Amino acid sequence: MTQTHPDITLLVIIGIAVMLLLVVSFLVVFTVNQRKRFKYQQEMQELREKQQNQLIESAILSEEGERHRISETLHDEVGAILSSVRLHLSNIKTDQLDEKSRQLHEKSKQLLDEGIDKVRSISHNLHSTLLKEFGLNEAIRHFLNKTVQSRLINVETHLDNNYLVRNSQSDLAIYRIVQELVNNILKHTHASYIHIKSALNEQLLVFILNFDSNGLSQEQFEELRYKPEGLGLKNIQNRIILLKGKIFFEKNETGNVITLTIPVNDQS
Amino acid sequence: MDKLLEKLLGWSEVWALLIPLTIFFLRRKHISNLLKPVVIYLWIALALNSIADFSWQFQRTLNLPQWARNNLPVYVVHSIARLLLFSWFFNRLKQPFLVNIKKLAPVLFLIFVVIYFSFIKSFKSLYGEFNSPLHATEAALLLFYCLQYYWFLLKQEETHFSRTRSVDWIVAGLTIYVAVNFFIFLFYDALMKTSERSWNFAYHIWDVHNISYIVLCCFIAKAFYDSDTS
Repeated sequence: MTQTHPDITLLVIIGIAVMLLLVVSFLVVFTVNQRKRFKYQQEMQELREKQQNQLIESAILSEEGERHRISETLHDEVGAILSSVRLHLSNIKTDQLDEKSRQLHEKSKQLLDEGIDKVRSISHNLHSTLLKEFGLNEAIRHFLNKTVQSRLINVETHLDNNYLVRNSQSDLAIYRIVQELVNNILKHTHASYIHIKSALNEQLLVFILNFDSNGLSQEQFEELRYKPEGLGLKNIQNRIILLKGKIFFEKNETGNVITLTIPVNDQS
Repeated sequence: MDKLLEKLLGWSEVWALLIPLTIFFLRRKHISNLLKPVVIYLWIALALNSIADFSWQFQRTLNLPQWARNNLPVYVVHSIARLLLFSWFFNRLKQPFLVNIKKLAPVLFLIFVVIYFSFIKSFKSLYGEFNSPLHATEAALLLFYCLQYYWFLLKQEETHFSRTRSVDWIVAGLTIYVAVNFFIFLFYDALMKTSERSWNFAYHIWDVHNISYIVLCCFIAKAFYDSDTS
């Protein structure tokens, strides 16, 4: 009986010591390993995001380049030809024409003027000269006036004038987002008003778009931007990623609110 | 000083539980629902350990009746409750690994308890001895739960180090507790019966159990502190 006593106590002591040593060593190794893996994963994630942002940036830049090219072609070539046609048409002596031909001549001039205006408007929308020269706020106001002038829609803008041009690429991205959002509202809803408000604090530039009629909810936006027909929404999301900003769609009984939040510190 | 330390360690199974419970009260809105079984365990353990320590500490001074002097049945109930609640905790983690075994383990343990007290030992042994096989089986099963948790995490390609931090603290505390106590539980009955010297050794080795229990409670407290429902 007494012979077994030292064996058991020794066994218990050794057992506890070995188990404790094993468990503590395992926990230390496991924690260090998990931390390393987590750090590596984070680095890989950052790298992936960086590559994705670079891809988005180059896609947006090439799209912007293409817009410029089309805009310049429209303005310098098509616009010039149309203006020349207008000049030639004006030089036609209408007093020698009969009444019907005179009316046709007038109608042609009128349609041509409309065509020239349209080409100029498209060219301005595609080009960002106004944005570069007068800044984001003026470019948005000009775009809204031009876009909705012929429609029965009430547009109000309250843009924070403290916002000055900080980064032309970011401003261009913001401008394109607002352009796309307004175009979507006009195309897909029967809105009777659009109110655009912006506010700047030290870190954030916030745009709020209010409009009535049937807008999108955040869930619908998330769903649509992955569909082929939601190319415009995908472009919006890409530009948001590039700006490191956020967009939120809200839909309720009183109307729709789209909130665009962009950090401005990164851009300065 | 020695007396004070002895008293402190003697009551540690009660006051150590108050550490995580205090954190729970302070941060109860932030405690993840995943930790619910642990919270329930702490309350049950507080009640059972208070009874066990009270009957042990005051058996002579309060001249308690014979049945109330024995706290061994309380430890058996504690052991069963701990195994059931921690197996519930591990099953709630939704780790798609050894799912059926994890679900079956508490059922098998309950069957083992019934067989143990029906055929292997008499029901009277609940009062008369420590029931080492029962406590050691519980420790082994809990150790299995802890190891399979780590094994699953090691197998994962992605690490969610920050997201599972709260659960990690609890599992780490439980691993240390069961690893330290497995041999204590396994040989405790033998130590108490072998000789007077070994009985003294068993009496003192229970302090090691108490220290590991304080460590477990501190780790649970840290888990509650880190827990974030968001």
